[in-house]
Amino acid sequence: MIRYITALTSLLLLVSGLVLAQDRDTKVHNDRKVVQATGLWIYNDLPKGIAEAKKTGKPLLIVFR
Amino acid sequence: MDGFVKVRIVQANGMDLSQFQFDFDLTFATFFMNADMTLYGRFGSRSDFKDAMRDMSLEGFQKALGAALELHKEYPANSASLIGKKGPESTFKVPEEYPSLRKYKPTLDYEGKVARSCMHCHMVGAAERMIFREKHKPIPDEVLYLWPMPEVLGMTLDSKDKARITSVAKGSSAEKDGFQTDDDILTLEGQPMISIADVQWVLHVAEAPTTLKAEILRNGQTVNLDLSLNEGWRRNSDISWRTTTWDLRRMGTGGLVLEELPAADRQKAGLADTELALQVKHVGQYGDHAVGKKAGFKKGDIFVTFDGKTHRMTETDLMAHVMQNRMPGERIPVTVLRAGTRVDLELPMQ
Repeated sequence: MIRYITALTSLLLLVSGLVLAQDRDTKVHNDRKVVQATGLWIYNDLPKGIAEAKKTGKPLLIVFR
Repeated sequence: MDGFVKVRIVQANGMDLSQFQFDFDLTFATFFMNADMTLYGRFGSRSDFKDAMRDMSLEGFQKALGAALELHKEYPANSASLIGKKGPESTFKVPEEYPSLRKYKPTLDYEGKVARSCMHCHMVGAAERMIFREKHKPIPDEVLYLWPMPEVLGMTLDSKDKARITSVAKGSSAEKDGFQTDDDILTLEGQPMISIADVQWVLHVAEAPTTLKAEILRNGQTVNLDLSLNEGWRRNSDISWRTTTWDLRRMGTGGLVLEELPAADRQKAGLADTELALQVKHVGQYGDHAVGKKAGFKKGDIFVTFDGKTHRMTETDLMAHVMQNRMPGERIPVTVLRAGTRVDLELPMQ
């Protein structure tokens, strides 16, 4: 009985861990989609930002978040 | 914000550590830069775990943005004043070069387990400390007490402004140096100050003992002051809020989180104000964070002796003592008060 409960608990933890991990991955993907869709931010591409700053003469605002 | 090219970086992977030096325990850190990577200023400060916004505000951010644009207009005529904003070349070029971070790649794995492939900024700070710990060397003050807030010297700055002093603590070194409420710090060591983070940067890289040249605006007049950094000045800092302190707890308290006993509880426990009274608020449950639990420590235990010391200490003080004087493998004698009885235990160092 104890072994059955331990095995069931381990399986539940594994499944919830997989679901949680999948949620985190989905969140990261969605974050990129949402931010890129606004067109306001260059997402995770510093060389592109530097090139744009050189082209426009504007300063850079680089946010680590 | 329209005056800027806006870039958001979501990972520490591949970050140029010589170019981007900031408080890695922040969850929001900003650099204002020229396209040639000259740094105009930083924004982003934190000194509390629960209230991440205590030291930042939209008003302060707006003022920093405006000040950065002004610096950009003056550039390159003001370039000499901006040199000090960039730090020395980093020992490790990118975070993945740290021994404890070698499993990470320079880019995120968007085709696979993207979250797991992401290196968080605080991991870089923890990796820096591990360099010392793995060599069994003391972690120096400048690595332990990093990015000090101006409060450490007795001056509180307004989060809604650039670098305006809202209060000066009585008897503090800032008061002795002549700083006053409502002073605006215009420059520190010749660098224009556009945020609290800019002040923190100068303090972070300063080598004590020293005096820093400050130019302040007081009642419309410019005044020059010297800000004294005496030996050991950083040790007034509180590092308990930092995410990287969780790794210090793993190494130094076996995963225990300690907090000072409030005055009323001290009295009930029969402990004087000058005596050690750190209560275990949390006991880690897994892996290396459960070392304290396995050693017999329990939530609610009150540390009254630690490594032969009985004088009052904060968790920060205790952590610094361990990280600078006790190495992995050692076992520290600890006496705790548990339900009114003194219990002797040992805490293994990691």
